[in-house]
Amino acid sequence: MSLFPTVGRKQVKVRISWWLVVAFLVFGVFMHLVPFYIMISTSIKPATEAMAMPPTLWPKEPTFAAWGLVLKLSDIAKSVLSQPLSKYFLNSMIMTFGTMILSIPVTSLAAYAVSKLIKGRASKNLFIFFIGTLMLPGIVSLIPSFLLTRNFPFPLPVAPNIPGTDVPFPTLRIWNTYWAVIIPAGFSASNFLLFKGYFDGIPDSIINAARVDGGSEFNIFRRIILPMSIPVYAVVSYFTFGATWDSYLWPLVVIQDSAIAPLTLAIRRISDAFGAAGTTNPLTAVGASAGISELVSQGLSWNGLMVLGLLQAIPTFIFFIIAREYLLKGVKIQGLK
Amino acid sequence: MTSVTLENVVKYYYPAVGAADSKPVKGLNNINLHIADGETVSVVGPSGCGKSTLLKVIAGLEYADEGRVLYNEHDVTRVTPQDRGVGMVFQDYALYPTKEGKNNMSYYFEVHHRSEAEKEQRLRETAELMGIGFEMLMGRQVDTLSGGEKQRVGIARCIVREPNVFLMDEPISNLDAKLRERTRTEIRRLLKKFGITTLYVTHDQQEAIFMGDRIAVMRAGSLEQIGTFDDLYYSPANLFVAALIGTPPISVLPVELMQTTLRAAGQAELPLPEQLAGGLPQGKLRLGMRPEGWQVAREPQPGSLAMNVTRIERLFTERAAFAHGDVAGSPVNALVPLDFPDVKILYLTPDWERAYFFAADAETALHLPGAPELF
Amino acid sequence: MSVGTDVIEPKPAAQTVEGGRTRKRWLNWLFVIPAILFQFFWGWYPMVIAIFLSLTNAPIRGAITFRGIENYVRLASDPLVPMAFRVTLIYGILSIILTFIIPIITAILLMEMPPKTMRVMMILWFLPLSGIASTLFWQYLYNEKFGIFQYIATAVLGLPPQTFLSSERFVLFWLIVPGIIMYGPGLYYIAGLQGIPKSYYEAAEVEGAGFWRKIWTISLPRLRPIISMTLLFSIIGSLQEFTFPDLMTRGGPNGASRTVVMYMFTLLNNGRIGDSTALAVMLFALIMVFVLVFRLAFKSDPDV
Repeated sequence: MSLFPTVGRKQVKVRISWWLVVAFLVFGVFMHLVPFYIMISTSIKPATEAMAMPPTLWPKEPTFAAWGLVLKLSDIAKSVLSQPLSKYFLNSMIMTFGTMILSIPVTSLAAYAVSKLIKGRASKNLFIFFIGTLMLPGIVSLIPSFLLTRNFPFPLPVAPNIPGTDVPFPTLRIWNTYWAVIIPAGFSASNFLLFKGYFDGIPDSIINAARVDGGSEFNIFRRIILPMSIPVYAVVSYFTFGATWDSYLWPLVVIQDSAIAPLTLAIRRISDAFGAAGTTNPLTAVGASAGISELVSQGLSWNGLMVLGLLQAIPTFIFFIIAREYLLKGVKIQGLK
Repeated sequence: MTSVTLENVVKYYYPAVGAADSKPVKGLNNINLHIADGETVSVVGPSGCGKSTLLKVIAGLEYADEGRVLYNEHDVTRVTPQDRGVGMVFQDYALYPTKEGKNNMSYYFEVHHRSEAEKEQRLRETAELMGIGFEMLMGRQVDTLSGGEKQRVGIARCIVREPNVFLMDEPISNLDAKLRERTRTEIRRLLKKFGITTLYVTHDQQEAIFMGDRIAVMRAGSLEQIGTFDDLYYSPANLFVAALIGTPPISVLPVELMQTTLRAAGQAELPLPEQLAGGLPQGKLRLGMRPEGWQVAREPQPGSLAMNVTRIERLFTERAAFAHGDVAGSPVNALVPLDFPDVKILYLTPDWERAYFFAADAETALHLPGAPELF
Repeated sequence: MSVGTDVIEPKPAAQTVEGGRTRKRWLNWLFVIPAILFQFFWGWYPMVIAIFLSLTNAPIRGAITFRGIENYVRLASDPLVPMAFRVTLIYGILSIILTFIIPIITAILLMEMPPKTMRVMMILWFLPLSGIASTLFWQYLYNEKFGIFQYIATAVLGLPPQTFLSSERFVLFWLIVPGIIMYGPGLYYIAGLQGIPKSYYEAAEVEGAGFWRKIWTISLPRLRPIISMTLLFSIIGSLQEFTFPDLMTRGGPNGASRTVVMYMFTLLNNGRIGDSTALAVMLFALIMVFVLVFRLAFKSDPDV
């Protein structure tokens, strides 16, 4: 209430402005919620109604047909999706949780060390080393990283020979595996910044008290710092989950095998197939592949795509709901920066 | 039963960001200190003087760059704080926020894998020592406690492990005035009871005098002087110590010694006893006098200085007052009996038995009165 | 409670200090070593070798050959490249202009709400809607036969049927519209605003400051570092846009919405890996120009 005058609140001009502000905010919230509504309502519409003009607000005869079709999509149209949808879902889960399990400890321990354990110039240099990449456009490392996944640590098609011998260097190939998504994300510069900011706010005296009490630095971290740091871990976990679950370009580049493809790639495939087929009119789906025609004839069009969207959106949504208290607390902590 | 000794301890620190070739500054400059077993030494000095650093070096939270730290005869200079067996109390309490009071105290035992029985027993004993009502504090989450309660838990955490050495870093600075008084009495009581070697750091002079068997004065990383209150008050090592110890502070007047006469601030001429004058160099000097060292009169006396009184401060505990003012521009404080109300000018005659003399442009003490013989 | 006389028989110290361990500083480095390795191999190393790779054919099979600036020359004469840059610049600049200010204002206005309302609004606003999901949603809305936008255009506004995403002229605009309509408060702005003591505003009010003046003299200056950081990251980010346009239009009618990164991906798929890398380096250079200009223009940078 700090911007509005405290005196003269009841004046007409002030009241009008107040309600304008409220309207503006409410409209914003509303617009943010509309997609959820539209997606849910469309997903339970029959196919034709999903393509009706004018669009209907609520399905006349709600049906879960689209849901069923989407979940069985690969059974119906192998050419569109070769794996059952659940497989893609699972792959996304594996990649996302794998990334979280690797990245969060690695990043947070490093942030703690730079914040509290390492002093002086070394600390400053490490800091720049860790967050320097944030300031640089990451896209430039796309291709090199891709090549690295094939013959780590050489961005080459074939490893060079160990000098003086005929034996090539041993290389690691993580291309086209879950690891290709998980390992490059092992350290996150932006999360590092969040962690460090938080740890910086912990008074040194508490850590000193713990040192006097006993235990190794790692024990102190585990028993004293960690319980105190739940807000930042919650926030980082949420961001990491959301970002990895939705990751699109990188899996597109490094994952070739449908069996391990995440849901985002499946969505691309499907929306591609529908787009090529012309989902404008089920009857005039020119050039539609057999799979698409089959799906369409069974009543799948945009309702199905909405189902896909919801499937993609729901896990992050659930995560948010579960963690919302911590997230709000996390925002408050940020405010103290 | 541990004595603490510091031998030629030097610690460097690098001034903050910016200058790449910033030269290191001595945070601790050749400290030599011996704390006898069971003794309490307070460390006092202006902020930035290095007293906290000294504490950390003794605790092991920072390591000396040169010199040695010894507990009894053991060289612990490089030993981790975990293994030195110290107990420490912090200015901001430094309690573990996610734990209850009890767990704050028992953390030590858990980390050192002590038996459950020993832990319980020590907790019980400490709770008794800390007095009534402490048991209730132990059960509460520490972030719900008030400042004073937190500090009690902090102190308890320190003593529960029966340390070799107590280290206290301005433990009561964050408490309000009344609480401070009460808590410092309680701390003193505990220290006397246990007879454990203690180092007590504070910026408050009176606190330092109250707590310490001996007081150490530090400035800019150096130990200016260490001694009992009397040592510091009557035989200060230099002007800095003289000015730091004593409230109201010592009055310092520029004077000039000519033969056996002291010319003060361009006005009065004060005759000096020959013996005294003989021991001082001629020329410009500084005369130091504590408030109680002046004979005060309302009328001009021979060999007295005129003081403009700006303020009279009543001492409620005695029938006396402090007169604050100046003699020819130099601030002066004098102790006056109470029947000198509201005068504008007082005439001060120095009691040469209590006079201090310092060099005119250095802090060197040229003559000190020494502790007065009372009987 | 008598003080002083009852000195307890001093117990032997609970621990002795013989054999105390010395501090092993190197253990602290164990905390950072994994991070250093990851950041080196997947952060700095790829960036650095990008330049070198762009001077080769960067193959995934066969032999690697050095090409010098051949890739760059080829790209320079490829008409699709300047087109992609044009698209990227228009998209980037347009999206910043149209969507940067609103989150700031929204955050400032949100802080005016009573705490409970603010909390509810914040939760609702930050309900995550996956970016991927939202592309499906917006494609649906933009559909020319039955999308809501078409409905509004023809039935409500009485305009001829619009082409939205298949319009070469306006596709970029339509891609940015979602960012405008779906506005929300910026998280970091809220955090920053929460740190401003109410007394500042009260003092300003006593001096007669009005609504906008308070924002201008109190809220905005406090937010300045956050705004400048966010702006910088927005610029860097929007010039590397890929996901949204890719899913929405796959490059739009005749490349009208094909950003540089999208063309990079096309090149990659066509086996022109060396070219793709060189294109990335070109984009990098362009973005760094922006960054440097930005840093020169806004001197105060807290972090690095």
